[in-house]
Amino acid sequence: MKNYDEKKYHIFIILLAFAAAATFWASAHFLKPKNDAVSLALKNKATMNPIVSLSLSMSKELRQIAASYLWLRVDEYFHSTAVRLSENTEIVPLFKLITIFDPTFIDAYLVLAHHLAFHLGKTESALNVLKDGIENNLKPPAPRLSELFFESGWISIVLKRDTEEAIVALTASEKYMSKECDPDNAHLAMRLLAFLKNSLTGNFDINAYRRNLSNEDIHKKLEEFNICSQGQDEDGHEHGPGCGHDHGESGDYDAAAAKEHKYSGQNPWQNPFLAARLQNAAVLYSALWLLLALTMRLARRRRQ
Amino acid sequence: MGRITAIGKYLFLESIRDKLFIALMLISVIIVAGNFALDFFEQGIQDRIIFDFGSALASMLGAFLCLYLTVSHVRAQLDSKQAYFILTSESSRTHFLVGKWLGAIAFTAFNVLIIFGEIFLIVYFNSGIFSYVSVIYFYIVMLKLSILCSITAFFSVTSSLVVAPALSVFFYFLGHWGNYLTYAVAKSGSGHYTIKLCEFATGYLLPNFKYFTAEHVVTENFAGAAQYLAWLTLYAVAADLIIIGAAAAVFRKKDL
Repeated sequence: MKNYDEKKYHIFIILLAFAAAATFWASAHFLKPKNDAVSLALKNKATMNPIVSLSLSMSKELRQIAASYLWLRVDEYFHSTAVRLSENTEIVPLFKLITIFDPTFIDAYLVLAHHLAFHLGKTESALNVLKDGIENNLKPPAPRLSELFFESGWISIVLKRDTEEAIVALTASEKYMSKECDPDNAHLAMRLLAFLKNSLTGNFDINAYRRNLSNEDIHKKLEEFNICSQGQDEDGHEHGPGCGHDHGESGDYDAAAAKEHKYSGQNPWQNPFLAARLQNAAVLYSALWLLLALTMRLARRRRQ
Repeated sequence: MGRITAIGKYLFLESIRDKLFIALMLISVIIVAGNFALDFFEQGIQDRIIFDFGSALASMLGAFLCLYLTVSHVRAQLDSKQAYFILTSESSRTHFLVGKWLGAIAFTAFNVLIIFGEIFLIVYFNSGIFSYVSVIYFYIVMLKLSILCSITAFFSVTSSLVVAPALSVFFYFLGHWGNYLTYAVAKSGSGHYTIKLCEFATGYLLPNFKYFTAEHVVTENFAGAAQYLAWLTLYAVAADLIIIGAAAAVFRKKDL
């Protein structure tokens, strides 16, 4: 009888082992092509570049970590006072590394293109960077893909004076617009597109553009590009009819976020938004600690 | 089953009294501090960096805990003969091994959950959004770490106190960098069959940790993401069953 039970047990174990092996193989068969397909975009670009080869062997999360670390370095170099922005060419390879490690890092494409176009005067390279970013994020469309098209359209119109190319890019920007896009840029892109469609002359007139849009929009964007005319006042502006931000409940323009953005880069203790977040976090953490301490105390008392 | 859970439960309780737990709590507090140091970034970037570095920390600490707990509670207890108190009772060797394995996974999950919970809260306080990726990635990391626990348990019963963690780390790295190995073999001009063998070994024979990514869950639609997660769960459970089963079979025959 004992022998019979043991035999049954052995058969059960063997069957279980076979089932586990079959499941393992079947799931590996499903997962392998999925993961191979992901790195296909990178593989296509992999020549003899060791960094591309290295990133091929890393998981998405590991590549993202490398990209985030490089972003921290870029931020440090970008705001360094040792080199002028117009002479800062060393930063370009760092940006390129970020886009190799994480081809979905939209901000890296945007800042690199902006730097190339407006600080280093390399318009074509900037447009190529954006094109690369669009290619890498088109299938499936990334939530912030629209911003790449917008930047491309903006560079085309401001630096290349190419209205048609700008309209193509801005139309694509409208197509891929999502809630995750920067509301200021989205707003500006749509107004710029409307204006260009109405005045398809082939020659972009910044002054006419300025007359048709709100001062705040233009000032923000031009200040960013350092080509703003003197004497424009950001505060106390008045929106003309049909101009300015949409302050409705549609969530098109987040005034609170814009206000908070003013404090970024300042000392943390001068930022009331950060102080409020800290306060909330402190309350929650204290409550959690208290709960943990109480639970442990009760458990100890129960044991005694 | 009762014996297995009892062994696992005591491993959990013993570990929670360890100073390691307090150290982990301190590290998670450092993550919180890191959040406030990053405030000069835009919120999207800030959230991304917190998630990236936080999840990397959780993954590394989880891997360390898996190795430390499994080796110290299986191999070290066998060497010091502490395990004999359990093995001479009604519990079998399989009960001992599976119990220890489950306890190590439970304690690792508890600690990793604290860190991911913290990331979730930081992102919530920063941007007011629920970071669902944190929850999904916690699950994926735990699936991955359960395989690491099984590998460590296997080497703990088959080798010594020094060799067991070393081999486990080696296989953990091999699982992550297997694709690179295939790529390097192909680039170095090896023959067709060598490349195919390498591909087969890293894809179908050894556990491939590169599958444990949230990439598909983020980029695909709900059905695609659910399908990927379901296959990933099956993969991890099957790998756990095979490795822990092999470990139990070896341990049963082993002369202590």
